[in-house]
Amino acid sequence: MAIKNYIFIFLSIALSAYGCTSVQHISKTDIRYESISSKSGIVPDDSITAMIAPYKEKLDVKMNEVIANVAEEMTRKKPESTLGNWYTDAMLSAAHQAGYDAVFAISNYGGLRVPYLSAGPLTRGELYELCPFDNLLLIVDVPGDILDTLLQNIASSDGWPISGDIRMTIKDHVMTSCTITGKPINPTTIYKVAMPDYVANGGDDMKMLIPLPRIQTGLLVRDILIGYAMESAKSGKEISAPIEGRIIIQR
Amino acid sequence: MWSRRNFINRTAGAGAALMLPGWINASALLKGELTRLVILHTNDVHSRIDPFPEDGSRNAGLGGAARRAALIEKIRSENEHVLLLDSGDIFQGTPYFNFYLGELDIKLMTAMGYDATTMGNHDFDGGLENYEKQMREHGNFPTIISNYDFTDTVMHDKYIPRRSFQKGDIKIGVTGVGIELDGLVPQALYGPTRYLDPIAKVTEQADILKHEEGCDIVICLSHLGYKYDNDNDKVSDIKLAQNSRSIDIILGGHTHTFMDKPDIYRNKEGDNVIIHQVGWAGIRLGKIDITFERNSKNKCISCEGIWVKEA
Repeated sequence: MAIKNYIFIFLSIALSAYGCTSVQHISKTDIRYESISSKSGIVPDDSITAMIAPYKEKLDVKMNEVIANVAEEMTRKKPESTLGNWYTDAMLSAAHQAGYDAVFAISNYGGLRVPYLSAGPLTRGELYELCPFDNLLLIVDVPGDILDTLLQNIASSDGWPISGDIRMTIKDHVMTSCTITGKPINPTTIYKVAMPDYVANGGDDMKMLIPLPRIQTGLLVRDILIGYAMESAKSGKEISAPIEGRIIIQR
Repeated sequence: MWSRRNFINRTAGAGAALMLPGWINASALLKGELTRLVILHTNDVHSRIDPFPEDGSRNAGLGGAARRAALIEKIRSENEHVLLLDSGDIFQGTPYFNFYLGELDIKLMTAMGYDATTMGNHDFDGGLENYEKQMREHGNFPTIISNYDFTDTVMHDKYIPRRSFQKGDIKIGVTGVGIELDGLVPQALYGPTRYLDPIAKVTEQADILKHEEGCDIVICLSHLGYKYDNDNDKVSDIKLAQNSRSIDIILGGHTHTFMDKPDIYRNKEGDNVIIHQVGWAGIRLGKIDITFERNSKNKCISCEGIWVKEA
């Protein structure tokens, strides 16, 4: 043992003296992921659960309230989706109810923060998760030529949620046709478009909207969705929004 | 490129190793000594504190901070050297953020023993002042980012461009990189933050970590996004991997990409760079096991190279 020790010390001194110190090499890499699931058999950590508890209790009172019923799962997809249709129809309807003139409504795709609303009871909390941002609804005056650019941008990312009365086709990320209430876009017409302030302020590369005149409705998009859902429930209807061919990708 | 400082670090390391019984073995030195490091990582957790509800939908029962914490603890109990990292977008996505502004998210990350995070665009959602406040009051891990200049903001002394971590014999360098804020985050939220060229800035830090501080491995926490098919000009993790130097692993975020296996690209100097990302919502915990061989040569004896096991 003592001899080995000496050899080791000798070696390390020798290596140091020659500036040839030991080097760490990556010899093996194993990359994977662990799924975190209630089926995985991992028991949740008690101390973490206890830390969450007081926060959760206060939230649950508000968020677990069932405000409507979803007929069948609504999903977020490109180019057009049930969830996107419902979302933007709610925006347009709210604009009209508040007395604003708007031809159609758009939302950025990333504004919808969950991939689906599941069928069955819909809670207030789920709509918070769908629209967690405190985005306000604005009505923006968009001249036809800028609208064309805006829709072209939407086409380049293969479609955004958009309200009814729009029919748009896309091929290879380029808009190939578009009508609004059955008519082609007129470059000199001013179109009133309902949208979240995030988009109107240039978010998601919509910078051409920044200088345009707009009206603040003062309505939070999330409150609009909650109101729209409650309205359906009040009139005894389940929530649904079919695919209508608002945006079609040509192959 | 061996600097004087690097040389001193190395010899100091060898001296410390003499104390360890496992090291009093000359043949082990000649053969090369193996050390195992486990890197755990998350990205885009987005205030998903509770698991998804058990409602029969596709994410039902997935995620949840308490279960993630238990899993991390289990891995720590089985491995001596563990590093726990996050790639940003801790905030925003459930009412926990609307009502508590990230307080609970940061508290839980501190309790789980996160070693570092970088900043995602949604970490600005309550304003930069809010991020600074939550990290100051509830965080005990650093925000590492190389390409946001916070000089004129409340964050000016609350972030670092890089940090190295010593785990046993292994020195791990960590740097971070963030996405362009203009056009993505309202200016009112990021204020006078200056966005700097991500590839240039992060390569600068990675060079320092690898060549001046003598790190054995360099990790970049990235919130740039995995790739952008429709936008060739936009910087992504793939572009970062191909156009950088000195980075071994990119732990990504932003695009919520569930990678079933990591990507490997060659960088400017022909070295392998791993890219990994684990979707969002804390549904997965990324786990990278690395075995290091220590020897006196420039060549690794038992290296299998970077290989990837099916998930």
